[in-house]
Amino acid sequence: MAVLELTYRSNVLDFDQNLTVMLPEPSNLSLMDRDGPLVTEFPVLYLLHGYSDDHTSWLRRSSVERYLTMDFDKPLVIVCPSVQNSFYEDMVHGWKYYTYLTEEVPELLSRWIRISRRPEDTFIAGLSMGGYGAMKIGLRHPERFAAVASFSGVLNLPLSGEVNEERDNMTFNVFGMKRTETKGTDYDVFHLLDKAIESGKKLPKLYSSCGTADFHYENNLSFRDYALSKGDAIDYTYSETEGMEHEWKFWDAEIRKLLDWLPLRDCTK
Amino acid sequence: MSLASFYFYSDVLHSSQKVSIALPEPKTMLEEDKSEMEVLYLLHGAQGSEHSWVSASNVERYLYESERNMAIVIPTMKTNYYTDHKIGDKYYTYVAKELPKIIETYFNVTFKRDKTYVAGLSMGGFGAMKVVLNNPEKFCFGATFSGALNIGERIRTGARPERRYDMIFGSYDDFVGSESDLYYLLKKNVEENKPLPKLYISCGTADGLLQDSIDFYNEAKKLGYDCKLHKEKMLGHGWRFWDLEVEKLLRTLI
Repeated sequence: MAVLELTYRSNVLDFDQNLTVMLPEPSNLSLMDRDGPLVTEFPVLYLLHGYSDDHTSWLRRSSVERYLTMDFDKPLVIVCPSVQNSFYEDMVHGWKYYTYLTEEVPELLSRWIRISRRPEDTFIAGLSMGGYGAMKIGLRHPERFAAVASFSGVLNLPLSGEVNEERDNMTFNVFGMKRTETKGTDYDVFHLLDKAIESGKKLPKLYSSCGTADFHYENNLSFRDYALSKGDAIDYTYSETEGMEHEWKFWDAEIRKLLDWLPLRDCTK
Repeated sequence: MSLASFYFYSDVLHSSQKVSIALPEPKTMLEEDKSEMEVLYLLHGAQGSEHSWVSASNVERYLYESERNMAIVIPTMKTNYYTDHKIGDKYYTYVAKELPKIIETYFNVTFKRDKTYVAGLSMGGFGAMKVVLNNPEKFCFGATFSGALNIGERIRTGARPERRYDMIFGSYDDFVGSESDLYYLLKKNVEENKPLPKLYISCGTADGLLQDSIDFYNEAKKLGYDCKLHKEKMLGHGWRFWDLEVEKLLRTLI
């Protein structure tokens, strides 16, 4: 495996942060057959974790690193950040995880690692809270990404409703309001989709998926219907898997499918 | 302070490798120009690992304090002397050829000779001299702290049998004139008009290897290398000395 575990002090958050970065293996790049280093900039997928998870979750609980290096022939760098339970937001009462992820991380990583900053080489995906985060970030900055994907995402935030006291307190700290009150705000992915279309910018390819036994299934169907109602204004793909719950078995299968779906160039050419 | 643990599969060694990389500070980098990072390969001593420099010295903090836009790459070598074994794995090819190629491919480091350095302690001092003298077009500078710089004599006399020099270097005849023979390499670079790297050679006066450093310095000096010898009073073969030296290295030597 080719994996980089990074620890550093974030200026935006003002505390130490960790990132997991998966890289193509040197052998995938045939480095030893080359006279010198491969001079390129790697396409990059930001892969976001769900509620309660962190930067290690995708590496540990799925086989994404194996798919990337043993089962896939186009080099790609996968970046897994850690944002606690912040819904990838600049928290109203808390830390600026949105700014951290959308500004500081790409800037820092591109100083350290040879990743491309070009929109056609930049993708974002995530599961559950991270599916919401990916779709939100992608639709707020459609000009930065070529593709955006959500697996079992909390895509209809107002509909996701109240959960329990602890989580409700957390989401209140994040949004400064109840989830049900976020409709029509910039926290609402449906609203962001409208705005992105109205902006006239070229939108990234969009993908969302869910298992039919997932407690977010209805939530995802409502986004699917809304997205499909936009017709040709967006390039949108929906997928569901019969009987799958809110579980890693589903996300593991989805990330493998996603690698093939990404509009990825071969950066070794 | 920024530190990365880098895991990958080495095609040369046919095994997974782990490398520590100290990276420049976000604060330093984001405020300054976007130039590529300088790169220092920092080699540990016998029995060490990619952890040795990180845990036993303050190298990560010194990089932070220096505010340099530099990546410090620390491979793991166990006791393999940065050498392609006579029979066995090719640790020299790994550290001097494959690793720089990998680092240059993935990381935003310079390809410029005048910003590419190698340094090491004890066995890694030998390794640093070996890497810099075999690749003077790539590295502008090499430093050895308490270096084991007279391996040839150890092989000839059969010293330190537990280190398995026979397995690593072969016989004394195999060693002479090889890419591990530092004295031969010093001369060869001069004869072949190679760009001569700058050398820094240091040792504690209470270290049993002091004479190795003095002899090596004298030979390099005689041959016209730009080199410096530093003898640290009272200190022996240990991290108190190497910690001082690596700080000095980042502050003033390179």
